[in-house]
Amino acid sequence: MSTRQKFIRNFCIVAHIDHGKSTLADRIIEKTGTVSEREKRDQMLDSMDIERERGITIKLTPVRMFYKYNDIEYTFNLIDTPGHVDFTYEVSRSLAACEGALLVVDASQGIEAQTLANVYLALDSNLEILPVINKIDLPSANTEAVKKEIEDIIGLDSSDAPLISAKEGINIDDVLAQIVEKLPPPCGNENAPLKALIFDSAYDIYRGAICNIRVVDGTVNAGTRILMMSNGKTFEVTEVGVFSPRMVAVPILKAGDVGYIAASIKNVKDTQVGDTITSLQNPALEPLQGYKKANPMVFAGIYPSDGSKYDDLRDAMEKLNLNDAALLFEPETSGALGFGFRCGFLGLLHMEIIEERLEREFSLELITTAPSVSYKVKKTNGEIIAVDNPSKLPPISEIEHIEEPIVVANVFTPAEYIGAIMELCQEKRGVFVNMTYIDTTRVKIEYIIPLAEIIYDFFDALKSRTHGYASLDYESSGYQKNDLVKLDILLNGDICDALSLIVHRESAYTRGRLITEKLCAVIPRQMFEVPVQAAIGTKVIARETVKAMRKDVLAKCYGGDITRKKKLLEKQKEGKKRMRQVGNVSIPSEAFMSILKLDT
Amino acid sequence: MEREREQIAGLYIHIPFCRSKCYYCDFYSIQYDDALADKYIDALISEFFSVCEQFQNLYFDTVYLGGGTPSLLSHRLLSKLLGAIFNSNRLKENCEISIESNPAKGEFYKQCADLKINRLSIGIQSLSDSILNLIGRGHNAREAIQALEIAGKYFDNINADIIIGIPSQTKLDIENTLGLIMPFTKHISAYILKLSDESPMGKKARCSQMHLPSDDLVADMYELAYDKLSMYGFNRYEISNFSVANYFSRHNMKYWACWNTIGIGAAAHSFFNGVRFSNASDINRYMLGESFLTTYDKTLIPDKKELLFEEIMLGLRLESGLDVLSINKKFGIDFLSRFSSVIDRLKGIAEYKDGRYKILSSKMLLESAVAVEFLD
Repeated sequence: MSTRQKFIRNFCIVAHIDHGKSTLADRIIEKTGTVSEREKRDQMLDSMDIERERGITIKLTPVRMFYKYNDIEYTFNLIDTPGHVDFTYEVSRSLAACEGALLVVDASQGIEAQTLANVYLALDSNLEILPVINKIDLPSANTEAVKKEIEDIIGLDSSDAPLISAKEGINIDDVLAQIVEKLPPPCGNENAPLKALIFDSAYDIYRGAICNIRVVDGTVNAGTRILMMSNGKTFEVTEVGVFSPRMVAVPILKAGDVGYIAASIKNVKDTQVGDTITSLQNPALEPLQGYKKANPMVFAGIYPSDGSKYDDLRDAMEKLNLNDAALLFEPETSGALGFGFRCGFLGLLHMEIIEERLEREFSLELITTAPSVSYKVKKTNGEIIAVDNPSKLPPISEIEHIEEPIVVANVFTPAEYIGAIMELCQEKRGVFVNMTYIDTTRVKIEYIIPLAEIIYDFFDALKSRTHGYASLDYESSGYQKNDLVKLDILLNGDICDALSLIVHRESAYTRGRLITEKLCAVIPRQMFEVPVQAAIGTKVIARETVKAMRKDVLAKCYGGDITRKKKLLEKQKEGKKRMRQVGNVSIPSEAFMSILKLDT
Repeated sequence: MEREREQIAGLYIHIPFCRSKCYYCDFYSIQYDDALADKYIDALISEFFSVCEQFQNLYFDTVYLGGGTPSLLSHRLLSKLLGAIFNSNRLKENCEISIESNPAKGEFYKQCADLKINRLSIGIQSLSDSILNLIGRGHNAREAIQALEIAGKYFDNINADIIIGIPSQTKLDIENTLGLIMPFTKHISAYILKLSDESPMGKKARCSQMHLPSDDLVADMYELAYDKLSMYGFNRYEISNFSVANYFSRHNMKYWACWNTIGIGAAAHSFFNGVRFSNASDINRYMLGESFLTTYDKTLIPDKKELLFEEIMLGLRLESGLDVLSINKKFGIDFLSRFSSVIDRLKGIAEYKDGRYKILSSKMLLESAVAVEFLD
C-alpha cells in the first residue's frame, strides 16, 4: 500500500428510507468544507427533481472531500446509495467501490427491513460497517434499545456507535473521526496494470458517456489508451476527474481513488456498469468481479396518450436508458392502445419514477397498463415460455400449467400489528415461514408470497393496516405453480387487450367485479349501451353496463353563426380522437389508469 | 341585355342592445343608449343600401330582427329602419317579417303590427319566478303572461322561447310553462341550455357554485316537452322548434337548409352563394364602416368538404332530415356510399328512408354526437 492510500477512505452510507442518510451526507459535506455556503442546499447529492421532492435517492452520486484529523489531511470518497428495495442493485454497485459503510439507524425506529437487506449486502462485499445512531434529538429516541438491536440482529458491536443528530448537526465530528480510525484504507497497487471498476455511467451530450470509476490497481490519466474488458473496445481517455461534488478534472487517478473518466465514448452501452477498465498497453490479466445483472421484476406497457407521440416516447426511453440501464423496453403493439413499449422495471417504485420522469422531463402524457410479473408457462407441447404481457398468454387449451415468481418477504413491525399483517399476507396467498422477536415490542415476520400480489397493492395495504409502522423487504425465491387464469375485459363484446390480467382463480371474481365497476364509472356514455364484462375464457364472471347517452345537443345556430357550433363539434371530435377505440367503443385514457388502483 | 336572374335571400338584422345581460348569455351585446341606437340604425340602413347596390337582383322573402333585444328600440327608430327596408322595394310579397322581443309593454306590439311585422317571438324562457330570477331575466311570470295576452290581440303568428335544463328546473316547471303559453302561441322554441364557459352562469357552474341538472333529467324534461307539445298539435320540425300546422319559421329554416341569408349589423353573419362572412362584432368598429362591403372582401369561402359537412350538421337537426338526392346533386357525391361506414355505425340512431337520411325521432337529442361522426 502506498503512503497516499493510507489517507484515503472510500465509504458509503446505508440506511432505511427516512433514517437520515441524505441529511448525514449533507452534514459531512459541510463539515469538510467541500461545498461553499453559496452552493449549499438540502439533499446535495440528489440531483434529480424527483429525488428531492420525494426525499429519496435513486442514482448513486459520489463526492470527494478532504478532512483534517490529527493534522493529517485525509481524502474521503462518499458514494451515496439508494435506500429503496427496488434499487438494491444500485446499492450493491456502490458497495463494491468502497471499503466501508456507515450504517445509519433511526434512534426512534430501530432497524427496518431495508436496513437489514443493505447491511447484508455490505457484509457480503466484506465492507467494514460503522453503526451510527441518528435522530437522538427526537423525544421518542431510544438509543440503548437501538444499540441492542444492532448487536442482537446484525451482530455488530455498537458500543462506540456515534450518537448523532444529522439534522441538528450534533456529534458529526465523531462520525468523521471514526471514519478515519475504523474504516480501512484502500489496498491496491499503483504500479500494477490498471484495473478500474465502472460503478455507474451517465451520458453527457458534449463529452459522450462518462464512467464513474473506482481505481483498484494502477493509474489512469488523459491520454491513456483504455480497454473495456467485457467487449474489447478501446478508447483514448480525454479527461479524468473527481466529484466535488461537481466534476473537476485532475491530472491523474491512482489506485484507491474514486472519480470519473471521459473518453469520447459515443455509446453508453460500451460503458457497462460492472465492467473493468484496463490499459491497452499493459492490460490486467483478470477483470474484477462485476455485478449480477439487475433483472426486471415488474413489467408494464407504456403508451403515449396521443398515438402520434410514439416517436417522442421512443426517443425519451432511449435517453432515460442512457442513465438507467436497469430500464428494459421493447416495442409492442396493442389493439386498444396502438404502438408503445413493453417495459421491465426493478420494482413498482422504479416504474413510478420512470413514468414520472417521462412525463416531467419529456412532457409526455402516458397510458400505463397494469403492472405484471413474468410468468413461466408450460405448454401442452412441452415448451416453456415466459409471458410478461397477459394478452400474450396462449389459449387455455395449450397451457399445461402456469408458474409465477414468488418472493421471500420480510416485514418488520411493532408487535401490535402482527395479526393485521398475518391476515394481509394470508389474503395475498402468503405462506408463513417464520417470526422472530427483535425485542419485546418489535417483530420480524417472514412470508413466502407471490410477487404478483406484492406489486398489486401489498405495500399500500401494509402501510395502511399498520399506520405506516411496518417496513417491507423482499427477494426473489424462484417460481411456483399456481392456479392462475387470464382475466379478460370485454367492451361491447370485444376483448380490450390492454386490460387483460393474469390472476389467481380465486381472486378473479373480486377483481373482475371491481374492474367492471370502475370502468363503468369512467367510460363516458356512448350513443349505444356498452356492456362491460370480465371473463375467464368464454365464461363471463362479471358484468356492468354503461347506459346509452341520452343527450348531446350543442348551441343553437341562430343568426346564422354556425362557425361556433362547428368549432364545438371539431373540439368534440378532437376529444374523441384522443380516446382509444375498442370495436365501437371509445375509452378515455383515464380508464386504463383507473383500474391500476382499485380499493378492495 | 338579358336580365339577370332574381336571387332570393333571408335578411337578418342584428340589434345588439340589451338592458341587462342574462346570466346564461355570452353573445355580443351592449347597454342600450338612445344616441348610440340612433347612429346604429343609420349605419344599418346604409349597410342595407350598400347590399342592395352590390346585388341588384337580390330580393328578400324573410326579414328577421334579432338580438340582443330589438324590442328596446323606440318606435321612431324601428319605423325608420323598417321604412327604409320597405321603400327599397326589395321585399317579396308575403314576406315573413319577424321580431324578437322580451315581454314588453302593450303599445310595442301594436306598433310592431302597424309596421307590418307579422311574426313575433317572445323570450319567455320559463314561467317560474325563481328560475327567471336565477337566470337574470328582467321580467316575472305575470308580466310574461300579460305580454302574451296583449300580443295575441295584434299577432296571429307568435313564438315563445323557453329554456330546458336550467339549474333547479323541474319537469313540473316545464309542464306548467308549456301549459300556460301554448294557448297564446303557434310556435314554441324549446332550447336546451348550453352554457359557455364565459357566461356568468358558466363560470359559476365551472367552479361548482351552481349545479346543472343531469343529462338524464334534461332528456326527461325535453321528452316531456316533446310529448306535451305533440299532444297539443305542435309538431317538431327542428330539434328545438315546434309549430302548429305550417307556422314554422321560414327565416330560420334557411339556416338549417343552407340557403342564402344576409346578416346586417354588428356581429351579423351571412351565407351567400356559398360564401360565409361576418361583420365586426364590436358596435363601434362596425359603425366605423367595417361592414358588409369591407367584410365581403375578407370572406371565408368554405371548400366543398366543409360545405357538405355544414349541410349535414344543420340538416340533421331537422325532423325531415337530409335531402339525400339534393345533396348528391349539389356536391356530386353518392352520400350513402361515401358515408357507408358512418351510416352503418349509426344504425338504430339515424336511418335512411325514402330519399332522406334522418335521426330517429326518439334519438333526436343525440344530434351533436351524430354530426361529429360525419366530421373527418
